[in-house]
Amino acid sequence: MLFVQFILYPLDIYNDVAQRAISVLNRRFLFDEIEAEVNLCFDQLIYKLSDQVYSFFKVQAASSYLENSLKSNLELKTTGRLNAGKTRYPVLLQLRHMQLLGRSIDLNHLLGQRMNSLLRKNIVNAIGRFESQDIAHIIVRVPHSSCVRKEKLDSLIARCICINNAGARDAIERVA
Amino acid sequence: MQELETQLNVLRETHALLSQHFDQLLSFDAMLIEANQSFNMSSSHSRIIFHVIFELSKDFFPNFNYNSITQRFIRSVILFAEQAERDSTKSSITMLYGSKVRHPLSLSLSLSLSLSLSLSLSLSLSLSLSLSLSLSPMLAHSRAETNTSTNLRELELCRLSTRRMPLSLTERAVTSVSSTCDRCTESLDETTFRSWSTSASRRSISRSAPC
Repeated sequence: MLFVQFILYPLDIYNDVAQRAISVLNRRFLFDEIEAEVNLCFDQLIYKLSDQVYSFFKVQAASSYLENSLKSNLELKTTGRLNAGKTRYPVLLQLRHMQLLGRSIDLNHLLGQRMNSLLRKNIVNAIGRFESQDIAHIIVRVPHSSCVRKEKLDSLIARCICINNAGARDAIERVA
Repeated sequence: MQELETQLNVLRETHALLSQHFDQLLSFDAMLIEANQSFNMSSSHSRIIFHVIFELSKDFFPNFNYNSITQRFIRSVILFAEQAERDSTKSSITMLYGSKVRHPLSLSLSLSLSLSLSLSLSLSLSLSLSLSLSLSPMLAHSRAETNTSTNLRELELCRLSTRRMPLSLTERAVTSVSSTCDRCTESLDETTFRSWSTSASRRSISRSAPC
């Protein structure tokens, strides 16, 4: 997706066609057809684009957790994937007024709505994945083997166990 | 936990990056609370904690033994509880780390992240759960039980009698641990725990906290 910032340019074809259908050919039904097609096409575009944008930012975020040496090696093999420039998606996201068939479209707002739902879906997915794994995946970090005696319980397990007794009993009853 | 933690960290970072460009994003914590179903003010229940408790009580307590030589928990030969069924969720690669393998030779992001995760997972497995300290009396108890019941009849009896036991044991362990946690902030000494666990009878486990 090197030239994704120009993805909205082809939509201008619809503008030109609609203008010709209305002012030169004087055919209302032709314009209606074009409008219906634009609606379909634009929905698909937003759907695909939001997935791409989300995946782009997620790659950026995930790659920040990689070690630098590994990251530079990966960067050689997947060129421009981990460290894309600021000219790719951010340009697209600054678009707040886009003229399409005489309507003004706020692309940023539309994508933002999708981002919200995608983020929420992803968090639910992460927790669902955690729930599908067994005890081996619930691991508490131990700082060092010599510190085992002194070290306190990890915050979450501590929270899980040190909740007040009534809460714990209630939880176990729910488990039962 | 480690995978969940990494995923949530990545998501938090993603949210931070996205919020530079979108101004109508909800706050990440609000979304997390909503997904985690931890919006109840009166209790600290949530999906994550519930799953941890579920795994501990249904799988870990009845089925795991502590091997003091290698200092880790292993699944015992004799299982006291049936395998709990877990929902299997298939998540797409975008939902995991956001990238996929494009070329067979190139290590991609999701692959390398999960690789490093599994490495750290096995490392921390060898270090054993830190729970080993706080829950060792309970586990020593179950170990003693499996050791003493040598002949088959006793074993069967034991199995029958312990059908209800994992739950009650769990409850006792949780109450005893929480009561020690309330009183003393430091975790308990291993030797104290051992002597305590061997000497204490089954009924007095929850009462005779060593601190």
